[in-house]
Amino acid sequence: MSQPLLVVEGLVRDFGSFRAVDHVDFEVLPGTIHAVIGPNGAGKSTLFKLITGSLKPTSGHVTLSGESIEGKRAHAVARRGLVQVFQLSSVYSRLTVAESVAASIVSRRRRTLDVVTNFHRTALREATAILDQVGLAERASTIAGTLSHGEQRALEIAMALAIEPTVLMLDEPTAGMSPAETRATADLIVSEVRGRGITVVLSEHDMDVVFGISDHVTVLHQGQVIADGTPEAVRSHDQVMAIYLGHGAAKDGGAS
Amino acid sequence: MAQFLTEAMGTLSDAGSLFVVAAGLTLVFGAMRVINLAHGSFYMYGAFLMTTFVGTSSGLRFWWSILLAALVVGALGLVVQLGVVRFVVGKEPLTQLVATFAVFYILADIGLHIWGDGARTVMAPLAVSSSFTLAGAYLPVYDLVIIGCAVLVGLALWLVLGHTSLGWMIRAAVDDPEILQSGGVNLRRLHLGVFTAGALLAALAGAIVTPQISVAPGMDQSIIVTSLLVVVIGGLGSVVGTALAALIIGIADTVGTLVAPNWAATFMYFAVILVLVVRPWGLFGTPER
Amino acid sequence: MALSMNDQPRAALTTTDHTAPRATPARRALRPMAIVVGLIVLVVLGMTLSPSNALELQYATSLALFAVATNLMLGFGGLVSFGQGVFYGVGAYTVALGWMHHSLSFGEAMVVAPFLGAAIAVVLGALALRTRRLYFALLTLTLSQLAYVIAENQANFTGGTNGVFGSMVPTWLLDPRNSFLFTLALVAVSIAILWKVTRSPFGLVLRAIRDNRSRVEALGVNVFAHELAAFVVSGFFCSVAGTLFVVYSQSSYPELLNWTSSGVPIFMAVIGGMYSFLGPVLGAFVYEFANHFLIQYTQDWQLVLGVVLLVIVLLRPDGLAGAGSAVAARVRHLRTVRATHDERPGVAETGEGDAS
Repeated sequence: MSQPLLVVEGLVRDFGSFRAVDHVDFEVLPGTIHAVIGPNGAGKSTLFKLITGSLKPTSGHVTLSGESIEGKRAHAVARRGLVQVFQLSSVYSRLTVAESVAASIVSRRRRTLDVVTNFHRTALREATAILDQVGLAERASTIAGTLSHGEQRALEIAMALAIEPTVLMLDEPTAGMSPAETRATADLIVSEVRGRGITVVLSEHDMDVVFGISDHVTVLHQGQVIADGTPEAVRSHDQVMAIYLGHGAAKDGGAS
Repeated sequence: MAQFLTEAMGTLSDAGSLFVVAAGLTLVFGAMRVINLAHGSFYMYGAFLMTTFVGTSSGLRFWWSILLAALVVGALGLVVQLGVVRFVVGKEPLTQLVATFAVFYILADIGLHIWGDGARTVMAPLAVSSSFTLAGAYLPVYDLVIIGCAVLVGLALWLVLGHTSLGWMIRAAVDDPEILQSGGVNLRRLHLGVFTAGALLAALAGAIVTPQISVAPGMDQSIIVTSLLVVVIGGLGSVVGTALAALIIGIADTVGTLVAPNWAATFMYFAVILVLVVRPWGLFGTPER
Repeated sequence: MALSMNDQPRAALTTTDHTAPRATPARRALRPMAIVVGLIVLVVLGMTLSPSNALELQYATSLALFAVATNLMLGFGGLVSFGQGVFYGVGAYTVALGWMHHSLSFGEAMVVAPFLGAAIAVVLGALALRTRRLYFALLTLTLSQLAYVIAENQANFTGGTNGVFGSMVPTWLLDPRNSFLFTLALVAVSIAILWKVTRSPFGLVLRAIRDNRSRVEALGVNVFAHELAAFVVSGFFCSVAGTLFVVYSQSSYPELLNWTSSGVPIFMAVIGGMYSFLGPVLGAFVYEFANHFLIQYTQDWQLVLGVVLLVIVLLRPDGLAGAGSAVAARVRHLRTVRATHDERPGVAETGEGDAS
């Protein structure tokens, strides 16, 4: 049994008197796809923000590769290899597709304050290779803001891959996608992300995706973990059946 | 004591007129998220219209002229909103700033054509141009008029914004425009009303201070800067913050003049910097997303 | 930049980002040629025009640097600074006060001024960049006014309201031709350096910050440090432009520092096109010559400027450069369509993804 890569212990976040995340514990093993599911408002997005450092937890611990990261700022967390792909498309509206990926590469190599060399050209060439893997090679010189929704999501993943993260946090990667785009994205996650040995934590509303590609599932409800285990174990969990699948949210739940 | 009273009165009067102008600026920002760099032009037009309406007469006509000047500029605000500002609501700050800066230039030029480039003055009616004695200090009655006007404007804004459904709509116009529109509120008309009210307030302040200043081109430029200082200290969109900040600016100016005349004009800027170092979004402001 | 976040895709279609490097080799070769031709035309004009017109051209050239340096913040960094007049004024006053107080020779002042501007930019930037967007714009505007008020009130040191004037430049620079060539050379070198700054890994990251600040932060980049770096570089070159104002006018006065003066390079960038590196240069020449010639015929320069700014900001937020390249793209498109019709229908040119 390998050591967990990401450990979340007793994580709590209050908004005023409302407790959005309530003593959440779970562990993510390296090289796995770990899904966090739950009905709208279960606290998935807040949990993600707490882990990535864009929100500060009220209490609790987050440990990445044995190093405590809770309360650290987003860019400091990202530097340690934990990178988030955003739920809402947030590509660079005026950069080309290749430049968007090159920005990640420049950042990973810590050349962002370099005003002298032509390293950005090297980065642009490297970007092309990554774009090839996510199927965007032909769109390399397109302005990112003009891509279709599905293409923007693929670009998001390419931009994240270019940072070579150890953990990739995917918040609702298939939100708003057609069934075909959803399948393509799921394939991409399995082949290009996990295929590179990157550990994936994703929140997802499409149960076909969750049970199709995950190695481990954590179920959140009203800020608390109500089930945690293999997809098979979670699928047959009574409480999950009752409050989650019972609401009919499994098939048609919208993005939170 | 006498000197303190004189200074305090002058400070309150300055802060009062400044509050009225800046309240218009912050009101517009609060409802529309637009900073109107031409707001000072409305102030200047209020003052110049006052010189036109009052002319050489004195007496009751003075008060009617204030009202009339404010109303005419309110109508001008209507035109500016319909012609320019409504197109930049929701746009990037740069677009808004450049567009309203352009209006500032245009109004400055038109103002020059109407009133020329000389300075003008207005006499207050005899009834309010005298002084009264308090604890040995001679205090101008007209300061009381300005302070009273500022208090009235403050009270009216507090009542309307805090205690009426119109006030709720104005506050919701930025946070939940969808909810507002689904409730049948015409957002465009709301913006139009708020912008007109903002212009009216600026003109009111410009008209009411005319007996104490010399009315000249360029006053649009200096008042917009001072009002920006006020709303930045107070926190954009906050009327309470604006009142407090107007007072801070007034006090900074007076203290500056007394302590270090050479550096007096810089005191209000250092007040701004001091506040912003502690609270980058002003006393009552909220961080921009 | 001039577009709201929620209409990105549509807006991006209508306004091309010319800060993006072009892909086509043909155009890559065309650009340096155009620049060389432009420089030659400028030199010829500067040598042949009447002294007063040549002086005007010299002033426009120095303003072009002011606009390009400001646009490093505006078009590339997405930061609306209404405070660049501070650095312009610092440049001018360093030369003027160095002369007045007999403390710096002209040559020394020319070297000291940009570094002084950069040092002040570190302080003001650290202060102003704590805020964003509109607050940043208003705070920089405030700082600009503060500098103006100080220059106006510290009369013993700065010469007060009237400023400083006198024979503060070396005699050889009083010759209009020398003065013009000196300005052009300094501006050309400065703009070339700024060009390199924008075409670097830093330039790429800066544009990424402009488009999506939190995204870049999530990459592990300290965004504040990069914005500060852009502010300092911009301040440095705005100060260089300020020293050239002294070369042009042999004077320095408080209005150089105030908020309307800080607005001027922004207007030039907006008119010329802030998403194009050289757009602000075009804007500076158009602005200054319109100013120069209109003042001879009408007193309504402010009115004309206001209307022009309104038209551009409401209808063509990417300025003249954007409008120009949109026309060029239309022409290219028509040609491509015609060509494919003539030869093999259905085979469309796919290599020009960057033109809209």
